[in-house]
Amino acid sequence: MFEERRQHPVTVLVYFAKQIKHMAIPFLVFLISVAADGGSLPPWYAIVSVLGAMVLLNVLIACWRWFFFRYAFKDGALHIKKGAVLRKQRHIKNERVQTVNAKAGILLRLLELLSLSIETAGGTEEPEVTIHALTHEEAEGLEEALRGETRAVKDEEDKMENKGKTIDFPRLLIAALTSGGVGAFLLLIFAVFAQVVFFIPDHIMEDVSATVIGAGVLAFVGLGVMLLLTSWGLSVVRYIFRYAFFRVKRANGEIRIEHGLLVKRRFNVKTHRIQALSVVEGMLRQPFGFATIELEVAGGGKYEDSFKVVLYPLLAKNDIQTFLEDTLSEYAATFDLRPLPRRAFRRYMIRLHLLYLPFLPLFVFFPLTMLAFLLVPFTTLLAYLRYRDAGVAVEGSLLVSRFRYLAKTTALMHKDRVQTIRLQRNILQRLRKLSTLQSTVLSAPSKTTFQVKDIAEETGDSVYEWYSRHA
Amino acid sequence: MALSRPKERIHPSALKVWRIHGIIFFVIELGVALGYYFLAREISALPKFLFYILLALSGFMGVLHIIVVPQIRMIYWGYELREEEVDIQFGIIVIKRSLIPMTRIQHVDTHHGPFMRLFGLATLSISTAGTKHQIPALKQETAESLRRRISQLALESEDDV
Repeated sequence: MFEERRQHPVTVLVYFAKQIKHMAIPFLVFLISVAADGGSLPPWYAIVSVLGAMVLLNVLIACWRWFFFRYAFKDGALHIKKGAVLRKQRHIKNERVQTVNAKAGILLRLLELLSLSIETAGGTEEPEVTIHALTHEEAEGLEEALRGETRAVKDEEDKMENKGKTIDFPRLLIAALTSGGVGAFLLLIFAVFAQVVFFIPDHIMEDVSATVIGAGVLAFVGLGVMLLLTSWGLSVVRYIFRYAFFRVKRANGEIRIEHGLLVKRRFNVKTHRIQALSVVEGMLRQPFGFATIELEVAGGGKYEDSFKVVLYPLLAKNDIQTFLEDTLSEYAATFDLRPLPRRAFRRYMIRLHLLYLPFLPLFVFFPLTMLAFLLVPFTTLLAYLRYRDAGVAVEGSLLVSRFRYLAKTTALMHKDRVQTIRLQRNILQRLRKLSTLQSTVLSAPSKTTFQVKDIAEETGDSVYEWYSRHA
Repeated sequence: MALSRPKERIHPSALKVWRIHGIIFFVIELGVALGYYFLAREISALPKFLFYILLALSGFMGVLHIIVVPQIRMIYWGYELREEEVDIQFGIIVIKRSLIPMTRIQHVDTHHGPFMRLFGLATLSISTAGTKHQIPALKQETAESLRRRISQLALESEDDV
């Protein structure tokens, strides 16, 4: 419980940086496009004075926002007041608070500050309230108040709690190398290129393309490899920055996850909000016997750039059982997966290869595209793997669904967390006595449905009966 | 052992409502075909034979939507309301069977379109936090009493999340 206060004054800088970020890019694009058009730039003093005015205005706005943002905790609720002209007040009762996440960038860490974001139920991308800068002491006080916890409880818990599980550097490096974040960076590079290409004068473009075309196929391949390597490198660096110093531990009915090299993050998940756990074996990780553990959590917002919470970045398959027993024993279970029946194999093969069908006309008109058939061995292998890996199991109150798109995913969910179970059978499946099983759980932002195609009809029916509370 | 079909059927008048929908659909398709016929008369570049194709197509679709599809739908539609859960089965080509525990149900409501009202029917829709399910063409009184019963049962069942 504490009286009304403001955020740490450095918040002005945080606000300023955020505001400028939104304005800087349009401004730069404007300047470049004027220059690229061959038009003359406005005189330097005009640019400087516009810039100066922009900076000054933003500093004033940032100061204003900081000054009129006040927060207090009393009567079991967080009270936020902001604005002077448009006044906004918000009260968040502590039982409505789902998570309090902490984050600290370089600047905040130098000043020994951190920012807290407070999430309530309801899956919006943005947190309900963010307090941009406060001292560790203040943050602790606020977190405790929001959790309705007393200091005594916390002290006791600190004494009792285990150190949790961390990740060592070699393991982190392997995780980073196999994270499969190449695609995202490739897209990013293309996106940036697509933006910039408009501003490159035509004659330079022509020169470059002439050189590349002149150098032949090898240059193209080289360029491609270079692009791939760059993206891969970037994705590795980002992964290491993000997940360095990873630590996960369970304390007091909560899972606490913290990580980050420059930007430190802390994330708490109350265990009763966990809806499902998946063991994800990516194509690059599976051969080495590694998997990532992810959680589906109800409510709350976007975490990093997905809605899934990484419970542990990279774990040897043999260690999963011990890890879960220590951290999240609700999901530590041994089970006998019922594999798909042989008759499902043909459906898996055909389903994946139907993807070639729309391209058939292309093969007729452009024979060179027939090269696409080089992909057939790979798709055949993928179809086989999808068939081989899929299956379901029921073990006590746990339902296990295993399936593969690219990564082999084993999803575990408790009966009382599953929202609905659906069995789906089309005409051909009915003939072959096969069903598709869908189980839906809550997650951020709304729901996730796990689907296993072509399980044996009697397996599907037994899952349905398992889920039914009807005796 | 295969699951037995849910016991309750929806009201037989559902057939009539679906057929009316089918007829409306057929009339629209016929309209498109005729529209093309008159257009082709004005603009000679448009091939005449396409009109016959469109006509045949709308006839085929008409038979499908007015006679075949409603009948198949009726065969598969079934639902069952139990103390602890709602069991729904429906589909035409793909048969879907869903089980929704009472504890998961967040709200139930009934609504009806103009043709449903004509036959005194209503649709019951059941929402959980993430999914939505509908039972169409129940007698209005049945829908209403189901709605009340489900909200009652959903309230009673202890929520374990």
